[in-house]
Amino acid sequence: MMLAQTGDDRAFAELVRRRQGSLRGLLRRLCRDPSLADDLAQESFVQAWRTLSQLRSTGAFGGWLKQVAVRTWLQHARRAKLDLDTLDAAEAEPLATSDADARVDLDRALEKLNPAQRLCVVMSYGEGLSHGEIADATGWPLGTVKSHVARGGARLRDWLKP
Amino acid sequence: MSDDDNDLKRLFAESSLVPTDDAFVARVETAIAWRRRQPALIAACAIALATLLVWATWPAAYQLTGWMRDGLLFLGPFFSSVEGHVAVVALLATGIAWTWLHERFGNAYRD
Repeated sequence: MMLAQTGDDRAFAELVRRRQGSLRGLLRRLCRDPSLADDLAQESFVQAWRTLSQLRSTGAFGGWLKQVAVRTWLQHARRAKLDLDTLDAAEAEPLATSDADARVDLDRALEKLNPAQRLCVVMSYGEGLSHGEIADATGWPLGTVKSHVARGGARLRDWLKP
Repeated sequence: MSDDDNDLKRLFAESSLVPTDDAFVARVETAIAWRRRQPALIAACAIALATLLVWATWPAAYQLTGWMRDGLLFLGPFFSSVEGHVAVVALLATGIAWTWLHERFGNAYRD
């Protein structure tokens, strides 16, 4: 990590190798398009490489990288004019018929969530970030984040109810 | 944390991570190498463009500079002659008159 901060490209490549799985997974959940997710993951790593010297604590790299990825996704969402403000009006309909289907259906259920809710739910339940950390990463008010996590989580539970 | 929350977390944890892919690492390395070269490339393009611009416009720029110099050489003696003084006074008088007339009657043309 410290080597990468001094500009060692091979050290940074090793960081990419170690972190790519989780970062690409996170962005795939947010994008629902593997190819686009990989493009955004690449953009996130390049952005991280450019601003790596600003990172104060090397131990915080994982969380910081997730924040970079979230900001990259938000920029993409604004460019693509995704509706981040309004709540999805989809009806709560059960998706899963058994526990075995739940994993497959999690992806389908995430797809049905409003992008803002999806982001908050994935960051909270999938990445284990606190509401405050999500608010920091997105720049949204804490109350908005809490509301997105609560509503999005409730919808997922409704949809995934066996 | 409720059981429902834990169930959701378990579901997220069980869904598979993207496997490590060396092609993706190579892709990022290529993108970083390109970014590293970008400032030098932009500087080289800017210098090439400036050179091209100077080369393409040199005859016109040269002629324009000559005209400006000739014009100054012509206007210098003119403004130090009686005719030049008269021309300056006429210009100033016209400007003052136009300003005064505009202030006095300008409102007549407004709605």
